[in-house]
Amino acid sequence: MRSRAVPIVRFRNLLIASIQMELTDELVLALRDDLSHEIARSSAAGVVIEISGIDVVDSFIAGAIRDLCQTARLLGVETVVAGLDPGMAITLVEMGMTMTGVRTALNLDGAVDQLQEAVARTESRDDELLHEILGDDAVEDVAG
Amino acid sequence: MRSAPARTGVMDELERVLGQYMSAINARGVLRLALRRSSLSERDLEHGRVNARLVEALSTSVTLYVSDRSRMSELSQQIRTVLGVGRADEDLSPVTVEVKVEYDIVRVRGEARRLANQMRFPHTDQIKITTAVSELARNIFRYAGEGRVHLHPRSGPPESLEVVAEDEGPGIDNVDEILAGTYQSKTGLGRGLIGCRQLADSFHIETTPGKGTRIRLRKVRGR
Repeated sequence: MRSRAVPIVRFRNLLIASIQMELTDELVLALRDDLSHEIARSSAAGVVIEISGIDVVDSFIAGAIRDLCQTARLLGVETVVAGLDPGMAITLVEMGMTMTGVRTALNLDGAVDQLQEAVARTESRDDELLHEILGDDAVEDVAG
Repeated sequence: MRSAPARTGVMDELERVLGQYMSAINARGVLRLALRRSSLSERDLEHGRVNARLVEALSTSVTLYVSDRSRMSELSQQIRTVLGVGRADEDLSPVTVEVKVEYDIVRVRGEARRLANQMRFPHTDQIKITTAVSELARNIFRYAGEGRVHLHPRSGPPESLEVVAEDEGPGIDNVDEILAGTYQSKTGLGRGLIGCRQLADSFHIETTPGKGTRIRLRKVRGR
């Protein structure tokens, strides 16, 4: 029985999971599953994993977070990890843990900004593509 | 830093903390229920014998009364503080934590963090110690099923924290390869061990296939 879980909240077009507890391995894996389902279900544009309240980031937790980011990317959304303690960052580097492909931000504000920018970029790219395919007039017709 | 208020007893203190969020009678009920669920007695509590199930049971009951997330985490922090000060506040005596269930990994690193903090290790070193201990505890749980972690503050000089993780599990038969970094297991055993060695000031491993593993590492304060 799972009595606790990391809460996932919706904020505008983002999903935010804030880890403010001691993290058991079971909770880490549950978060990965919950988030993947939530991403698929909610058509969110981005995910923030806020970890300022985490008690440790060891190789297992770091690996799980990296997997989570990759899973989210496969589902078409970007993830930003916010609030990593500088001491934990130093520890990860010293342990030789690579967090390739994991975007980070100092705090929640930074993470939300990054994701909004990414979303805006994608949208403008989509727009350009649409213009290219249909021609400018056609797009305006559709939009108008 | 933990501040230890003058206290009559762990039971009273817990009731007081819970009472800030619910009526006194409910606080008492929640506490009794949590004790029963964790098969602990009041005596156990007064003697600082606390287990993970108690914390778990308290948290679960409390969600019925506190819905607000931030108040919830504030409360669990208070509960942990109360349970933590079952011991003397500046207790630097050695600690042994049995590792049998997954939650014990969290318990071991909690104890490691507390000791490192009380020994006044710099913040980053506290994290390194906690991380290394977490790796060791997880390896025990994953690969040996059960074992124990000893945390031993050494007065020095130089002051240091010694960590010994031992189990009677299957042993690690390719330990040299693993530590040389030439072998990467899918499960992450290698990464964890190498990481531990990187984080510690000294690192020794004795392992006998079929007999068990004993890892000793030390972190010196002020390096």
